[in-house]
Amino acid sequence: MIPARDNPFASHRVESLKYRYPGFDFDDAVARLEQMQWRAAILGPHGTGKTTLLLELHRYLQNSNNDRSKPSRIWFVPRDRSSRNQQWLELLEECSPQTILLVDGYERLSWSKRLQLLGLGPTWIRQSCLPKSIVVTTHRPVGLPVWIHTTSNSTTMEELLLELHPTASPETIDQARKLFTTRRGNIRDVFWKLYDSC
Amino acid sequence: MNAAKAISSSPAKRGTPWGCLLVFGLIFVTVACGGLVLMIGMPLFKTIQAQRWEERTSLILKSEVVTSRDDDGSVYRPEINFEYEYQGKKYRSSNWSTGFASSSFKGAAQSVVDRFPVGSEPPCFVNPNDPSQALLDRSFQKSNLFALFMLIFLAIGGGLMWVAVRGIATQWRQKRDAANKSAEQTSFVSASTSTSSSHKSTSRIGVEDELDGDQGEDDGDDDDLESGEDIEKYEDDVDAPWYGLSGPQKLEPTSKRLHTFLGFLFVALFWNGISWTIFLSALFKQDWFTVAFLLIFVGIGAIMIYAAVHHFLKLFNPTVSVALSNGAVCPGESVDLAWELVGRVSRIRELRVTIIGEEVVTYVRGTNTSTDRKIFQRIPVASVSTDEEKRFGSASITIPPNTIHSFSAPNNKIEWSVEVHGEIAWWPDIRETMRFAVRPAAISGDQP
Amino acid sequence: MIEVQLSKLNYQPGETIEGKFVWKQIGKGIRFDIRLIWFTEGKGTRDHQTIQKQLIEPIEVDGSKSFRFVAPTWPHSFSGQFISLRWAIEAVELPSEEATTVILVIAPEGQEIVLPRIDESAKFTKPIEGLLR
Repeated sequence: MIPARDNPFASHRVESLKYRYPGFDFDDAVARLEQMQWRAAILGPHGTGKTTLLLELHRYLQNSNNDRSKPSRIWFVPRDRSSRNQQWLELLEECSPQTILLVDGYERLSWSKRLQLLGLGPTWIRQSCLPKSIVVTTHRPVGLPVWIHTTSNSTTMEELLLELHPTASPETIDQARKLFTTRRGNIRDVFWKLYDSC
Repeated sequence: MNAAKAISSSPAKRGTPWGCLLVFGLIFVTVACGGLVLMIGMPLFKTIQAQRWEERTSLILKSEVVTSRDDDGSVYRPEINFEYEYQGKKYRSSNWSTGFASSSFKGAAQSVVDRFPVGSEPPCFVNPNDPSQALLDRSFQKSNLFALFMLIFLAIGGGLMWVAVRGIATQWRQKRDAANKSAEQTSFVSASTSTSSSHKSTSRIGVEDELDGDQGEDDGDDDDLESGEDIEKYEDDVDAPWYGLSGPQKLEPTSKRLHTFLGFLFVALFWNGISWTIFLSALFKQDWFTVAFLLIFVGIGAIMIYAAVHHFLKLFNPTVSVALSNGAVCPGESVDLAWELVGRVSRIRELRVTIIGEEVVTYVRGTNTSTDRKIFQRIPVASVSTDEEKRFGSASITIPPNTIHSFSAPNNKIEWSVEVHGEIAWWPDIRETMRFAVRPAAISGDQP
Repeated sequence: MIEVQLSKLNYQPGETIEGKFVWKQIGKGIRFDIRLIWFTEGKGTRDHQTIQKQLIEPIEVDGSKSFRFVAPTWPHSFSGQFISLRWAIEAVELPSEEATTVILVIAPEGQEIVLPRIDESAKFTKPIEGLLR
């Protein structure tokens, strides 16, 4: 039995994968985001790399070695409302208008919070301390211009698979291809299922 | 040794929106009550009032079936205009009854038209207080009972509200208990931070005696830890599952039979209420394509009804109680386990009691959450088939020495439970799971 | 360059963890947090918790400092098919939060508990003779 820590499809390994897509250049993409004044959405179906891309953007902004580094804050919107509200208050405390706020799970937010983040709605609900720059992940358009529309394909999935599990057997790769079809291109689900095969 | 982003600095992810459920339930209840009042309550009230109205002779001026078409097909309505005289004054009305005006069935409208042909002089009933109000038929129309389907929505809404109120109450109790616990712990825990939930509260302690003095192996430029230097200690975000469980414990089932049945019933009623309404409507309109499509939904509804019936039948199974001599047992320790079944145990072919250790994981990414379980320990406790043994029995079991204690973090858990499985022929089996705690060695059950 | 030196890597609950943090050629204004943490790895989302920590604010460019923690009584290091719980000493550079990590084992006998993989098809066997009374 492979201990959980050594399983090639352990969550921490899957989450450390870099976003990849043919012809994708991170510097170019960030330049485009700058032109969009850091107000954009990463749009795409489940398991196509939205969170991965957001994390990568966070790392990029935090890396003091690059000249585009900026103060940024990433927020994984929690499932339960009480944690969500608590973290919202923390966010209001921690962020300044200059912070770039990266929100994963934007669709979990209530309409009033969304309006506040977008700087819309009546003045009495707006928070002056909220960041003006916001990048969110979403499955459908949310009123922010789309920065990157994430998609997945079998080739990318196989590349990622071999990065996680270089010695993957042909049977595992074949299983992954089938799962990719049945899971409608959700790479995250493919790896979740493959975890048990190791 | 490796250099990377600090694990302890990374945000971690973690409910049920009870408030939303309450509002959702309230909407159901409001719509259902509104529908019932409008379609049954008000016509019934008018029917009762009309019993005191005065009888006059009317003249039918118009009687025909009016057809209107929309996207959903044709709707038929009897249009009856009649004239009557009250206290020397002539009135006209088109309200022939308190029933529904429209129907998808032409036959129903046609029968009314046939009942009141043009030129006929049937009796009518006039409101003496407002002679402009009159009815040709003052009986309660059975067609109004169609609105009783609203009761399904009322039940669903009521159920949702009940569940939500319970959830809110539980949440409130948990918060209160957490606050009490936190207040108690401040006396012996110096500082607290939960990295996984990212709420922080820190206070510092001095570590005096234990950190005093030089470290033998340190070199000259070593900047030793000095007396009174600050070390932060952290309160447990992860609750100790064995807290307060030492000593004999009666175990509680992880899910109550009645709750499970009600859960399935509500889901089945909700699903079937909607799918059958649309299905029957399509069937009466003879829209065969829609009927064929909706058969899938009706099929799923049938499975849900089966599940609800299955869980209803389970309510009549013997009830199971399990007790442990110690609700917080250590690996390597023995514990006495006793079970008691109340009810017709003779129906049970074989009763099996098993101890189970499981890894339970949740994976959260974006708006997606997946949960999976894996059994790592299965300890057979008893397999009995005589009625006496089924009704009451006990056994001594030893938790394996090299196993892991109970553990509960937001996304990763180790759960220990007693599973009681009773096989019943031609009836849903008994399957009850009851959690207990395995504590690490050298920790008493009352210590977190 | 930073380094965490420990006399050993396997501890029993309650035992003292002694170590030394060594730094060389570090920049001005950099501080270090030495943290005793546990974290999970496996199929689920990672959980982690800092149990104790000590802040080090170096004055010199090169130097070292001893640290000492007491191994908590729980949770124990273990590894199953879905979850591995691991203990570690993290030396976290502030404010960058880059960390140097040393994995430890905190469990009875200082050995990680390995959970067995069971054959779920064999769900029940008769109880051990004499177990019932």
